Amino acid sequence: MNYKKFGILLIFTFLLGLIIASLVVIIIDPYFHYHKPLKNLNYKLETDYQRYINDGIVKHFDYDSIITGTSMTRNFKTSEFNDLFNVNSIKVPLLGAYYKEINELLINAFDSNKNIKYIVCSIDYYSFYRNKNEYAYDIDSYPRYIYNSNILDDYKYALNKEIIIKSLSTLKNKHSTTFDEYSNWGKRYKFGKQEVDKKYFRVKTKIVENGISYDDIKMLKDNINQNVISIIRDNPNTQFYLFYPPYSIYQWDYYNQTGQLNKYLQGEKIVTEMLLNYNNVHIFSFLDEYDVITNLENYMDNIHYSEDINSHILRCMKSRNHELTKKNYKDYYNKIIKYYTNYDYDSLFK
Amino acid sequence: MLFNSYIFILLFLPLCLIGYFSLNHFKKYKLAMLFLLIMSLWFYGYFNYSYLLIILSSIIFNYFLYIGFQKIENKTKRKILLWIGIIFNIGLIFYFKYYNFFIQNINSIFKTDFNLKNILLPLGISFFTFQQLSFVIDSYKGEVPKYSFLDYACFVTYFPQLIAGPIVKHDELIPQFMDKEKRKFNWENFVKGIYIFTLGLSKKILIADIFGNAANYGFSNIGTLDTTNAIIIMLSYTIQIYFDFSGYCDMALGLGKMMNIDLPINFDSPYKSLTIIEFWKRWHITLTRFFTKYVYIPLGGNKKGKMRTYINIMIVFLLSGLWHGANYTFIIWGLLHGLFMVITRHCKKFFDKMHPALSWILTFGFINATWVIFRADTLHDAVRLLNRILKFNFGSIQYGIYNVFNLKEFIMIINAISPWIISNYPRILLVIFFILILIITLNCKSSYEKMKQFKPTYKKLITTIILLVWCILSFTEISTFLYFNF
Repeated sequence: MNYKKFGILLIFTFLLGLIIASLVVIIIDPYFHYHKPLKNLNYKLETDYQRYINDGIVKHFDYDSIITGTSMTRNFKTSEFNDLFNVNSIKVPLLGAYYKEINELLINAFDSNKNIKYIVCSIDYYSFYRNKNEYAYDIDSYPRYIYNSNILDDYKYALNKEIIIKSLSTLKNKHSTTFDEYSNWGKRYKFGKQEVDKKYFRVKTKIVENGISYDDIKMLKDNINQNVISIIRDNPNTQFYLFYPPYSIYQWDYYNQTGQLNKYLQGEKIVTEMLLNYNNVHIFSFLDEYDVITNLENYMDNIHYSEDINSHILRCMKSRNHELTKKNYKDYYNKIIKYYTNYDYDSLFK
Repeated sequence: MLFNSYIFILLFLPLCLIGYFSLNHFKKYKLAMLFLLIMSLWFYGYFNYSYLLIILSSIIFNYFLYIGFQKIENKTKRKILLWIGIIFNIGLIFYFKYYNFFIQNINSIFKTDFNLKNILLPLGISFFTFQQLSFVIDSYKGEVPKYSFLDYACFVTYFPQLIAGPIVKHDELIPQFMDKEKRKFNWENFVKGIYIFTLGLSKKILIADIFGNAANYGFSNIGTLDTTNAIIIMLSYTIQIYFDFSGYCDMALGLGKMMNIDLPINFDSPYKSLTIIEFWKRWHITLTRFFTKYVYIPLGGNKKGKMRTYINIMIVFLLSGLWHGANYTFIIWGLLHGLFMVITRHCKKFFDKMHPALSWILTFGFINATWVIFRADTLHDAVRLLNRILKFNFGSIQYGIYNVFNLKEFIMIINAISPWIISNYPRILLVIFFILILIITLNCKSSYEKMKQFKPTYKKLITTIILLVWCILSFTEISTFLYFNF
């Protein structure tokens, strides 16, 4: 053929190829960027892609409640929550996230769904003393083209080799991941003191605690105000069920050995005080469940507890057991601060 | 802007070609050049508009020097102008590229505490500085005809060669801009241009970037490498830099060709070289050309005796090393190449008698080892990695390295054929990649030869489309968040 024919065919077929490739993604939409799952296809929900799919889930799925938070929420079962509260919930954990990231996910949820009844969310200790705008991962690694509502940068989604492959493999899926299954690791690890000991490296010499500083408190309050309080205040018709994840006693040993024990215990009290000002919030703390926290059969490392604990947390939320109120929180913190400050941590390692 | 981006291929390039050839079609030749200049400036300033300030000031300053050379005949005044030009251009590149390196060294030698500055390195400054230096020196010698400012500005900013070369001489480019025949859109050149551009893009995206992932992993985890893995890392970088540079040279060639402009060849299958002297005639040809014309020959070349010749060679390679970057790794890399050049020349008879295979192994081995120094962040890291090779403890290839080659599209295809292949032989793709690359670098014709021998067949059409689409779909990567502890 001559060069002109070659050139024209080249341009035409090339553009056609790009259009077909992007149509595959737009129609199947494995990350739910445009629409909820197609009825006749089975979609996988994979933990590795959570930063890619959670946004689409909150924007397009049918639901009236959300379970979110960090890895502390992975093993929650939406089926249990649905039974207890008579709702239709989704679960969108963001592993390792700080409050800012979770807040942004919830903002997108509220923008898309005007009828959210319940939000269950973990208030993790490790996110307390972070700058209010900090992210857990390098800021450039987040797929902003998915989170924003700018359609012009969607070519990064539609003309994307990996997403095209994911779309094609969706055609072959036999099973749609349920929210119970999504990100659940329930039975895959071993529990008990032996397992936790393998993963825990105790700081040899105890660092003396300086206590909580004015700057710490300011950072904490700014963080909670921007990333937790604001969304509670903006959505008075939604009930927020928040909980402090019950880390094992080994984690409190870590805080104690590194001179941060009071910082985190007092920190929790400060956060609780802030949250108790809002009547659409229910805040739960399990630090007085000493038999759970000191029983390492419940844990696979110093912080991650079994799915039974997750179920227990949901039941407590229903029965309002371990809920902190304006009436009981001061006594509660007096009690547990005394317990964890006086606990004989060394005895764990003899 | 980068060649390997959606905006360049799907927006900039079509706009540029349509605009340029439309204006030329209506005989608005000057307007077409102005259009080209503006597009090139858009290309350059896309990431950071302050870059434009630097390049425009540099162009205007150098053009004024050129006018000075056209008008002034007094020998002394011309010499002064020349030195002003040299100092200005070298000063510019010194400030942006070498200031911090210079201060760090002053601080460590004299135990002073001068502050480093937060200087953003403008893209391509090494290239457009050398390009203009050569123009200034040629102007001084009276070798430059009458050019308008528009001609000159288009020559320096011409986007195919602005960021990564080749270093073009004025008489290679400006006459082509002036050639009215070249102002007509030509399907043959356009097709050949796309073909070469696609080959270049594929080299960068489908080969260089992948081997680069392995190299990056290795250089960040030197402590974990045994001999097997260290050698794989060394070869990975050798391959990465080859296809990265070759890819850019091809893309530049192709883009020029689409506009009927023939840019000089910069890369000619350099790993086929049997000697280091041959290597530098095939690798970064225009850089070698620059140093030869403007440093080596003025210093006397090989006309002032053996000792002086060797010193001249060492000076050229020292400068070459420095040109590549502000770090001792680059300087040592340059000096080692200079040394090997000198030794090869001095022992010419010995090397001529050597069996070609042995000569190739020696040269290729040397190139590999010196690339390690070039790539490492510090000399210390380079020595560490080379040491790991010499330890001779051979183990199996690490997951972090072989997994780089397990591209999802290949896994999908292989699994469709037979699912047990990858699970039993997870390293198979790494092996296939290496073998294929070895064959390509040692056997294939250079892209320039390919372009000359190109015929518009259906096979070429399908290959070009598949490669181009595949590359574009590879531009955005899915980030891997590490969730091990969660």
